[in-house]
Amino acid sequence: MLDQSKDVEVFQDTLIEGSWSLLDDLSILQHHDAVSGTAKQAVADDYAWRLFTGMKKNNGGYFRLIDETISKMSGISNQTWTECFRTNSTFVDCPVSAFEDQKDYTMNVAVQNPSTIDMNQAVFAVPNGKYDVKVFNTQSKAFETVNASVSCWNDYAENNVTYKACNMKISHTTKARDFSLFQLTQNDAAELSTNNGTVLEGSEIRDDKFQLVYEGSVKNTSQINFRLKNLQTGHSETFDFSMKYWASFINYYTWVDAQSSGDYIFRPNKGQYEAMDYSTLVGSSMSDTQMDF
Amino acid sequence: MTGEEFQKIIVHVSLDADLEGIIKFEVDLGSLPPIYYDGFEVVANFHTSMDNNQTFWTDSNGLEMQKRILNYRPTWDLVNKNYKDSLENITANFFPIQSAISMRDESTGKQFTVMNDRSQAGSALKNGNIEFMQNRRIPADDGRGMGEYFNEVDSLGNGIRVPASYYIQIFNSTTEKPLQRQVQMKVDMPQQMVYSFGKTNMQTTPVQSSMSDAYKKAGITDLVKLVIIPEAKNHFILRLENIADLYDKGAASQTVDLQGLLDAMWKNANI
Repeated sequence: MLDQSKDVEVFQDTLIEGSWSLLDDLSILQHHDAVSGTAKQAVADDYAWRLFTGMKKNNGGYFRLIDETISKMSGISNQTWTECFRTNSTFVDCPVSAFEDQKDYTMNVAVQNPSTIDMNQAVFAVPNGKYDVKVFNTQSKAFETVNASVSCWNDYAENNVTYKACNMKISHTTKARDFSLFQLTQNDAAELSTNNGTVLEGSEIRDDKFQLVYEGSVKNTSQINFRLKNLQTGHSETFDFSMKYWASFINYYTWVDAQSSGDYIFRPNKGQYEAMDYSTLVGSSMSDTQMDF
Repeated sequence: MTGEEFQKIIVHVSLDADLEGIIKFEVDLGSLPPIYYDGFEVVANFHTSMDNNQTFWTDSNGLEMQKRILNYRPTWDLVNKNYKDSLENITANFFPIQSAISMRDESTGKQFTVMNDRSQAGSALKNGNIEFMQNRRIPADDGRGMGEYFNEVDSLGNGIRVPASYYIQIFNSTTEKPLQRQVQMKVDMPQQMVYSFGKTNMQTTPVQSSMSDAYKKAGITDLVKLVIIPEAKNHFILRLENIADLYDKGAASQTVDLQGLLDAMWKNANI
């Protein structure tokens, strides 16, 4: 008993020290050079390193707190929790990549919602759609099947090798300031993947109130068109998305107006009053549009 | 390596599962072309047809929305003073954006808001058009003490890949609710996922948490941002912020029952 309370005390010290240390790092990252990325590359690398080490220092404590919370909520404890190396990435940066070719493995996913908004969907990276998905029901105190889908696309690595990447989307509400626990079991007979590839003109996604239709692209440009319809009022709005670019003003001759565009200064070429379409620069490689159903 | 694959842009479009009518664009911008003589400053561009009268609003560090009028400053004569020697009217109309650019068509009530998930530069140079600077690559030094080109590369020397997310709301500001601040809350405090592997067994009896409901009962709504920072043992800083802004029609005060909130925290820590 004494040992346990000593352990808790040491743990509390670690947490407080760790969070202050991370706050120090975060305050440095609020410097204008860090926010807008105008520092020398070596300085930018140092900002990234500070954030990395700051998080690393806290991960042990964070995972232990997660384990205690999940244990309280589900009775399942002493899990070795890990996280993805990067967020907004694909499964190759996530712990599941080590299991990609394995069969019948089980992956537990704990979700924390730190916000004050109930979140109705959990989205995370997986290698494919071959899973049985369950959620821990805190009322029945058991895992139950939950509605999930997987959408995939062709992604590519730094070395230009293409691979299939997928996102798992689970329809389950993680309430504000609360947690959820999912259990994914690999199953070759399961297939949750609903789409795989580039979206076609006329495709739509919808929920109870809105319908979003993809109205195709404009030839020889990067522009893609959409229509959003409010299903209750019948009102429609059209909008489009495109990638464009400004050509930088670069001073090659020091005897004229010398100010180049660069790290701090954004200055388009003289006489350029409109951004140009990005596809005119990179050819037809734009774009691979996915709509997530 | 042709480089072509590195210039690919993958765009994911989805409807937000929590906030009605919010469209999410995940724009994964591949390497910008190699730089030799030309520099490239690439913007994500959103457009809908409306007349915003050369006026738009940008957030101030994620807080209040500030009114911007093209080629205009409220406290000095931009055109005659700054434009006198050079026509810098692209640069002068770009603003720092931490969370949103928004515009209204006063005759129809139509409002167009595009929110981002990171600090960027942005502008609205044409009617109904909102753009955000997503990545730049320039073979020049702008003479501000850096002494190096603007050229961020990955481990293989290709331009870095820059993914960014944007959230769009197009709605009638006289009859519908703005959701800009709820989107901001989701962007600032996204879900965290952690993973473990292997079959699991229940070792203890689960305890159902009532904390989320107790917080809501205490007045912690979707517009109240709540941050807890531990200061020492049994000491913490509690920061509550009403993130609604007068730009949002219908913005109101939020009332929080502090005793109820602290009771909920105590209960959660001691069950």
